Amino acid sequence: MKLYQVLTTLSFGDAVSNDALAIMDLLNKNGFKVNTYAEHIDTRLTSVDGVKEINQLPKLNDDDIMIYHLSTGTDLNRKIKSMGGRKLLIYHNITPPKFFAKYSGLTARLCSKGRGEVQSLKDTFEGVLCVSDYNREDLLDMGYRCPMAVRPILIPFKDYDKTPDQEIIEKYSDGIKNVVFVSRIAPNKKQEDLISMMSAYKKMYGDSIRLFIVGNPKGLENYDKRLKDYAKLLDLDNVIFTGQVSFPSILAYYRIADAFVCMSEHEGFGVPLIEAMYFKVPILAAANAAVPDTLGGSGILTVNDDPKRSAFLLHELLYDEDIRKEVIEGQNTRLTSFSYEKVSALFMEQLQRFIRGEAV
Amino acid sequence: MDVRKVLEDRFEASVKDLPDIRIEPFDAVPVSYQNEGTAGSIKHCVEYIRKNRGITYNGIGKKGRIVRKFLSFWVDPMVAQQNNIDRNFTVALLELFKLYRERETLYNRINALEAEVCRLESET
Repeated sequence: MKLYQVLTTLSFGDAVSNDALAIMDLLNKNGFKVNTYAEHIDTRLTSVDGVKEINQLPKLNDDDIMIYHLSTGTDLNRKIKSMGGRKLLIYHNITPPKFFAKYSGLTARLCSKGRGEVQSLKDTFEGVLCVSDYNREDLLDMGYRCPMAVRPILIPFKDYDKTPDQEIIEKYSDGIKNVVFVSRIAPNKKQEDLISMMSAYKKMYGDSIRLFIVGNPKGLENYDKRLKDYAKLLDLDNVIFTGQVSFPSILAYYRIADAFVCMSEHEGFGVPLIEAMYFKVPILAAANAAVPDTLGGSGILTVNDDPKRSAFLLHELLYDEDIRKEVIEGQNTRLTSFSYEKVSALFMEQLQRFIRGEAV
Repeated sequence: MDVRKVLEDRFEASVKDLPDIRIEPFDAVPVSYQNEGTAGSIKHCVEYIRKNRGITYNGIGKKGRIVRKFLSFWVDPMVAQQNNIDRNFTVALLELFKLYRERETLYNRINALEAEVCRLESET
């Protein structure tokens, strides 16, 4: 029996790719010799040991196991149906296409195609590991009846202890409160609701805080432009769009953050929430999709369509030390559920059960 | 303490004292279609049709498969609902799909569709 890990795209720094790389590393440490095969590989990852082009994937024997990460529409989703071996799906969810229809036909089509493909694969897998309970519900709605279990994304936290960009830290450690959101620029992330919250905040408390919208707008430049136009319309000069930034820069933005605010309407898991927990940044988040599951009772919840409420909660979170302390303590407790040791042990148990032919 | 409840109670107690504020909605900002957007997507679609029409005159079956493959990738009612142009376009494509076995009708439809796309592009 051999293990193979397959996904369509291995990008640099995104949650799905990081999960796949962390799993490959974990499996290799546990004595499996596992390669990861992808259709598209970021040039920064082509030299990583074990990363290979999909056309190098050998023919799988009946007792071989394919771990397949699914997060978008791709012809590979159909191709794997006819590939041999036993198949274990890791489902990261696919954003509903409605979010992209105004901005990117290509992305909308990929998401639409992907959701159709997920449905058509419902009888293909012997087992599924979902990165959140929300994702498990999504598959149940699509007719999946195979054994399914929840396994959070595997995060090697030691990466976060690398040196942050000192220039950013020095520049923005000036006494002004920093509010941060880290994620790609995408309509499902609802960055516009961060901006309307900032407008409400300005009218209620003045503009003594600033918001950093940290993320890559690639492929959704017209949404990015609309966000910037919106900040201009609301006369906000304390909203900073960083664009795509390096990993040390991301670390720096977490280090300077006084609050992390997430207004996402659709998240399959929400790795940045865990990152905020790790950096002990109190979280305010809209209660949508997998976000409440990931927070697990920690952080503060809000809603998208009430900027006044969000601004009020943000102000309390920024300035009430007792509240901050309580929230951070709650997040610290929640973070232990996502420790590398815990999630890797859970994954190995689930995989061993799958190997033995038992329900994951 | 139940910090969420504490803050909720504080908000409820303070809400009457907070200023009455109005914030321009995000919809007040128009979408720019300079990049991919709907017009870009339509353009992509036209290019796809033109490209494939050029290489698939040999048989309607092959043409049909290409059109079918294209449509399976393109058409989604949820996407179509978001935008009138997309909906019109989708309806046109769905009609095309139904007619793909009828060679002449198909080609006439493609021409009509291209004309419609050009009209839509000039409007957006």
